[in-house]
Order: sequence, then structure tokens, then C-alpha cells
Amino acid sequence: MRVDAMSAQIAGAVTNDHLHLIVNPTERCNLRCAYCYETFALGKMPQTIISGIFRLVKRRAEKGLKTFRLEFFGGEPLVAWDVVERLARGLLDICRANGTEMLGGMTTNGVLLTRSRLDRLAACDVRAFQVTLDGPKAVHDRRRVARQGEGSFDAVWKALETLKAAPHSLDVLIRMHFDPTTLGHLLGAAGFVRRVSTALVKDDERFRLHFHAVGRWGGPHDDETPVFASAVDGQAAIETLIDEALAAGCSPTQFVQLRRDADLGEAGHAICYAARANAFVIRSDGRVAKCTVAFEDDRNTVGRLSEDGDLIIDQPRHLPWLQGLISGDPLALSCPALSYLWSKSDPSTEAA
Amino acid sequence: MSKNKRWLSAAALAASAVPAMASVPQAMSPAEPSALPLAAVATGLTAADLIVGLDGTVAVDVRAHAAAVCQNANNGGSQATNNGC
Repeated sequence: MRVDAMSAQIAGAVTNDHLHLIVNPTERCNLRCAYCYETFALGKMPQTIISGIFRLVKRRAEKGLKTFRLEFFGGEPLVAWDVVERLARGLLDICRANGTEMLGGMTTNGVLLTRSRLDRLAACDVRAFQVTLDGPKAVHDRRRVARQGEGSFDAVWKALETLKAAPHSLDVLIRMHFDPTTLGHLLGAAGFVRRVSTALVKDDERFRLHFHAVGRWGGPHDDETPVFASAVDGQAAIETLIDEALAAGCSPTQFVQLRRDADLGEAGHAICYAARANAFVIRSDGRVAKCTVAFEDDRNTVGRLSEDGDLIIDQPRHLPWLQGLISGDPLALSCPALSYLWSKSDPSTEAA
Repeated sequence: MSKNKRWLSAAALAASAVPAMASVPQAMSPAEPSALPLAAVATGLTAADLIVGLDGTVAVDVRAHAAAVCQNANNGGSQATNNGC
């Protein structure tokens, strides 16, 4: 059975029925999180690249593309709201005209997510949101700070309440970061997991939780970032956090780490988008990458998108990212950056 | 460990290594390739199958590939009937 599931996963990672683009409308950000690995060097996506994305997707949709998955990343995508809206509306129009299903989503810090923007995104079938919390206000505000230095908790919480109150069909993933020094703030009857579970997640299947140990992800403050001594320690903490949320009334289906479905293959290993042959990151300057963590590693640049919509892939640069599809190696499938760029033989919490 | 987490240990190490956006909501998952035989497609893929064209299409014809893998599996008397071939 697991072989079947894995084979289906791999088939899904090479099929031309599906195209997955992770688009950086900008690589600027309004926050400066303590552990962030990005450099914020690239500004807003120019019209030439936007046109290239339209032409690429149109070409594929006209040839029978069944599903197109659009995910906004960054930087903070909402910093370039005009680009987000133009792309979402234009790509949905292209998909609808050709019978292609579009699945839209966004990884956002939430600070700039207003009800008006949410309504407009939902109208464009951008309905999946990943928003990160680092703990209660006192903890979150020390780590996820605005460029001017103030904390972002209040704005993020307001965004989550906006999502909660909206009538739309949504898929909201609350990613909760923790480390050995903050774990205590999340646990217990008065802990933050109970608060989030009760206020947002419990009895609302639109919301899900994902607990993630902070790692040293390549940012300038890595040396000061507290991390677990081993992945096993981090795993034990995740189990405790899940128990806490289950005790608060959340359903097992609301945890990424408890799902055993289409996202997960043999032994529960996900196939990361970076390991898929039909998934690409379009950076705001038109460079094509595979991984959203290793933007500063030149090996992550595998090609470029032209204004004409040509995806010009440097095949020798691309193929190392796809080795898991050939070898079936779980690590190469679940995190090719670990196996290819960082030469790790074992999964660790160092991946973001 | 609770019943609901019976498989967590097997998956948790891998999950911890998955970048942020790999943790995508269910609704965002790629369409299930239901038209494909659930064969061991992976075993037959080569680098040549994974060349990407200017329109982003992958060279491999997964359906033909899956069929070939099935045929090989059947000829070899493996567990083909159990994996969708």
C-alpha cells in the first residue's frame, strides 16, 4: 500500500497535468524576524516578469493543464499587493477560460492582511494562507519584529481573527514556531497553544496547526538562535504540543504532522515542491529557483522566465533537485536542499 | 503516545526537515493522478525523463512510463497486481 501511495506521489510530481508556481511578488519584507535567512535585496516584480507568468500559464492552460497551483511567497507578498492582485486575477481568468482549476495560496506574516484584501483574494480563488506565530505577544514580539523595531503580534492576531470571521471557504495553516526557551510559554492550562486552539482552531476545520522548531536557517543571527540539541528532542516537543492542542479540543485532522494523506508518501515523507519536476519558484527578478530557503545559494537558480513566457531551464542545474524522483531516497524527496546543498544524510531541524 | 499519533514517530523526522511551504493545506495538494496506474513509476525514471521544456512540461510521459513499469513488473512476476498494474 505504501508503495502505491509513493508511486502516486511521484507520478504527481512529474505529471504535465499539473503546474505549481511559487511566485515572489517582491522579496522585500515589512518584518525582520530574528531567525530569517532572506536578504530582502530584490524589489517588486516588474511587468515583464508578470507578463511572462501570464504567457507561460496561458500556454499550458490552452494545452489542457488540469490544475494550476499558485502560491505567493516572498519577502512578504502583501508588500507588493498590486502585483499579487494583478497576478491572482489574471491567472484565474486564464485558468477559467481554459477549464483549468486554479488553487491559490499565500505564505504571509499577516500584518498587511485586511478584510478587504482577503475578500478580493478569495474572489480570485486564493484561499489557502499560512501565517506564523511564535508564541504569546511577549515572545512573538521579540522575534517577529517590524523593520522599525516594534512587535507584530497584535497585527498578526488581528489578521487571524479576520480570517476566522470571514465567511469564505478557506484553508488556514497556523505555523507555530518554538525553541527550547519558548516551549514553556506554549504549554499548560494558560499556555499559548490552548489559547490559539480555543480561539481559532477548535471546531473550525478551515484552520490547522503546524508546530515547527526554529532552526539556524542561514540568517545573520544564527549564532544567537536557540535550537534543540537534536531533531529527536524537537520531535518530542512537537508531540507534547500536539497533545496540548488535542486536549484543548482540536481534531487530529487539524495537524499537519498527523496527516497521512496525499501530501505524504512512504513512511510519511512528503515530497517537497523543490523535489518536483513540475514545480518552480519564480523570483521577483524572473530567476527560476527550486527552494524557498536557499535563495542565496547559486545552485538554487535553475533558470529564468522570459517575458515571452519561456521557462528557460538549465537542465544540469535542475536535475540534482530531482534526484529523489529517480532514487526514491526519502530525504532527497522530502528536502532536496538538505541532501543536495547541505549534504545532510539525516533530516534535522536545520531546514526551515 | 496517543492512538492518533501512532505513525508520528516515523514521519516526524522527515516533517521537521520539510520547508515551510511543503506544509501545504489539503486543498492545495496537487490533483490526485487518478488516471495513472498506481505502479512503481519511480523505479523507471531517468534523468532524460525529467528534462523540462520551455513551456515547463516534463519530458516523461508518465502514463506510458507507468504502463512500461507495470509490464516489467508483470513479466517479472512481482507484486504487480497489488500495486495497481
